[in-house]
Amino acid sequence: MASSIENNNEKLTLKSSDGEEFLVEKHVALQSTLLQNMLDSDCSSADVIPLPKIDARTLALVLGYCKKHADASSSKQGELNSFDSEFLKDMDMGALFNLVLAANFMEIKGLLDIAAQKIADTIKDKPHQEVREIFHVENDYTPEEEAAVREENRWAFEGFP
Amino acid sequence: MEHWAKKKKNEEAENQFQRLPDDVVLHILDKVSDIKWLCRCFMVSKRFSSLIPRVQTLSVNSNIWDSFLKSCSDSHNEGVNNTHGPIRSLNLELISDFDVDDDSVFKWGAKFMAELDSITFLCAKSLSRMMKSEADEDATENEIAQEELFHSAKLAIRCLEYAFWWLRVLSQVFAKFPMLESVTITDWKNKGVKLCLGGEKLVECRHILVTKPPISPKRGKAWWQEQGNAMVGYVPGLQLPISGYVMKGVTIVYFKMSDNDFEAATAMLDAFAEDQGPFLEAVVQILEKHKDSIKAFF
Repeated sequence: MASSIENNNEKLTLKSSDGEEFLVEKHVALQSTLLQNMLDSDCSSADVIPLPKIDARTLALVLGYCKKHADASSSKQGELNSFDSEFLKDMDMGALFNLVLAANFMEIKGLLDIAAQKIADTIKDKPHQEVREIFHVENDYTPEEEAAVREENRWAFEGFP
Repeated sequence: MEHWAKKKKNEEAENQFQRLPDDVVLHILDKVSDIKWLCRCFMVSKRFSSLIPRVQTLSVNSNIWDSFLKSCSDSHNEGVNNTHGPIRSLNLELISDFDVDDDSVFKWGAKFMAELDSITFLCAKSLSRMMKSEADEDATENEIAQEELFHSAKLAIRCLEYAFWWLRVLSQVFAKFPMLESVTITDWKNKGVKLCLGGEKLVECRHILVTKPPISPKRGKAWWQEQGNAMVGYVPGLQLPISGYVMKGVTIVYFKMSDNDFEAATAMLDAFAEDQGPFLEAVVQILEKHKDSIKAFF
C-alpha cells in the first residue's frame, strides 16, 4: 500500500500514432487496464509507451476522461455522471468511433460503456436505411434476401415504416 | 478549411463500422438491447445479421412479448429464433396496465424461494416530501375507511395477477433460453419491484418452473382466501427520514403462495429488497413499529 502512494507522483510517457508525446501521471494511467498490466509486468515507466492505433486528438480526450475519473472521489458519482454526458455531447460520429476504439484498445471500461451507449442511442429507433447512411454501412443484401430477412422478422416491423 | 472538412468527411465515409472489431460492435448492440430494434437491424447488413444473435442482453416490452415468442416458434432455421440459444442474460421490461392514474402510490414485490413464496403489496393514500412542519404532525385517522380498504384490496389483486403473469413469462423464458444465467424483470411504470434471478437461485427456480408450471391467477384467488394465506395491515402515517418522505394511509397486503414455513415478515422485507425508494423504508418501519397491525385477512 505504501509503495503505491510513493509511486503516485511517477509519470509515464505515451506516444500517439501521429507521434505526439503525452506525459501522464501514473494514477491517471491506471484507469486503463492495458497500461496497468504493462506497469505491473515490469515495464519501466521511463520508457515511452507507443499507442500506434490512437491519434493525438483522441488520446488527449481519453486522458482527459481518465484524469477526471482518477481524481474524483467515489462520493462524487453524480458529478462524474454529468461530466460523462457533457464529455460526449456534440461529439461527431468520427470522433466518437475513434474514442470507442481507443477505449477498447486501452481497456477503459467506463469510457467504452458510455461511448458505446452514445452510439447505440444515436441509432435506436431509426429505420435501417438511415442506420446505413449514418454509419456508411454498405447494403450487401440482394433485394430478394432483404425481403426474406424482413419477412422473418415481420413482427418487429409492425407499425414501422 | 473547406478542403480539410471535405477530406475529413470522405475519411468518415470510408470508415465507421468497418473500423470496429466485432467485439466492439457487439458491445454497442448490447447497449441497444431492445429486441424489436435489434430484429430490425437484421436488415442493415450481413455483418449486423451475423452479430445480432450473439447479443447477450435483451429488453423486451410485454406488448411484443407474444409476437416475439410466436416468431420463435414460427421459424426454424434462420433469423433471431434458433440463434438465441446462447443468450445468457435477459432484462425484461414488462408493461402493466393498471386502471389508475400515475400518481397513485403503490408497489408490489415478490419473494422467491426456488418457487414463488409470497407477494407483498403496499399502497398509500399519499406520498409527499417531508417538510419540517410536518415532522411532528400525527395522522389523526386510525381506522381505514371501508371503501379505501376495498380499493386497496382491488389493486392488490391486480398486482397478484401481474405477479402470475411475470411468473408465466419467466417459465417461457426458461424454456426458450436454456443457457440463461441471469434474468431481471422490471415494470415500465415501476409499480413492481425489480425481480432479479441469477446463479443457484435461478437454477432452482428454473427446475421448479419446468417441473411444476405456475398456478393460474384464478386458482391464486381461491388460494389466498384460505386462513392465514393473506394478511393485511393498516398504518395511518409513516415518517420516512432516510428517503425523506411522509406516507399517509398505508396499507400492506401479503399473499402467501407456497406451503413452506418461511416467515412472513422476512418475506415482506425480501420482496422489497431491490426497491430503492421509500417503499422499502416503509416496509421496514411497519415491521419494526406496527407489526401488530398486520392480521389475517379472513
